[in-house]
Amino acid sequence: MTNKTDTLTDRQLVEKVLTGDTSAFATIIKNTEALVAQIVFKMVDNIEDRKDLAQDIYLKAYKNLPGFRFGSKFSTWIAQVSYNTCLDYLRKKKLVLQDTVHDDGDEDLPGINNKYSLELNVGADKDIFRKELSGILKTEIDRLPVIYKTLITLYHNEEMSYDEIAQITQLPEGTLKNYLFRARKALKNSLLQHYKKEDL
Amino acid sequence: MTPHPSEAELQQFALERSDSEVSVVEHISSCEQCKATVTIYQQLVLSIGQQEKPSFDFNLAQLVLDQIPSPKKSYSRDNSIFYTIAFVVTVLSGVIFYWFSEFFAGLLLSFGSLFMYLLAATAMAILIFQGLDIYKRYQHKIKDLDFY
Repeated sequence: MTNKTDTLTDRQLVEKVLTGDTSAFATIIKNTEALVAQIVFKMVDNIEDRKDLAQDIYLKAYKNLPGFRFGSKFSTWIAQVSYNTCLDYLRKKKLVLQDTVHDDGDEDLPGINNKYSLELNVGADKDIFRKELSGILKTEIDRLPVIYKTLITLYHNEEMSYDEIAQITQLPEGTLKNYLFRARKALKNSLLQHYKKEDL
Repeated sequence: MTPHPSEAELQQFALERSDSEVSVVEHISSCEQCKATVTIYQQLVLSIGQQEKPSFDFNLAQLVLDQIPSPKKSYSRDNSIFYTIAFVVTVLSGVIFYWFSEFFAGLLLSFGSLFMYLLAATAMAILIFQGLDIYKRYQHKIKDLDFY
């Protein structure tokens, strides 16, 4: 059964919330919680804290909704609130947002590259390989520093633009691109190391 | 053969081939090592895009709504009662002043100038306190909005 607020635009939903319609705010939560979950899951490991933070994010959004002037997409604004809330949490817990990524270099990898590309092209095993790759990649993404895994998820999984991510994180676009480059390189090297270990 | 493109150029090629320089494109098309690296990046990006998205395993909307104070009731009915009472009081006051105008005029003249100054000072003090109160509430609301 569809709610009467389900088909409204973000602007209409916000206006309804501002007139005291809390069901419109429930629709806003349902529309945006997937994006909020991406940010919270990537930035916070503790399950209970995630629950508290998710609520905190929407309570902050509700409180500050009168100040939202649609200068950006509503989802970007909610994502910004989420990112800032998680950032505050990390600061309070004295956790590190950006850690160094161990760069193994690529000197000894050409042979592995060829082996790897060979595996990618095996037609019959493609699905199995993709599933395996997906699992390994999930683990490797989780091992990345918080800022890297957040950026790589927003860019490649949520398909957000540099401009949107820059608004959310308040990072200059150059820094953003640099972090994404490093994150992809780290993931590539981790994958190659993984396959190298399996080969041994 | 031209030197191998940088890692950044290989990533760029893997993400958006059309943005790469011709020399980079030509090198990659004839270099198995770089081609393999590009393939890995393309597979990597594809796989990240296909990663399962996380979701909260609780009813977030309900939890949040439970903490939001219930919206203020519509005061349209109360307002109409208020305006009616205000209208009746105003009319009654007018009638009383009209009927007893001579009495009130005599009363004011008998109080003298000191009483009039006292009355004016009290009114000014009330106005100043109300103004300060409005300003404090305004500052408080602005502070609430500025959460970054």
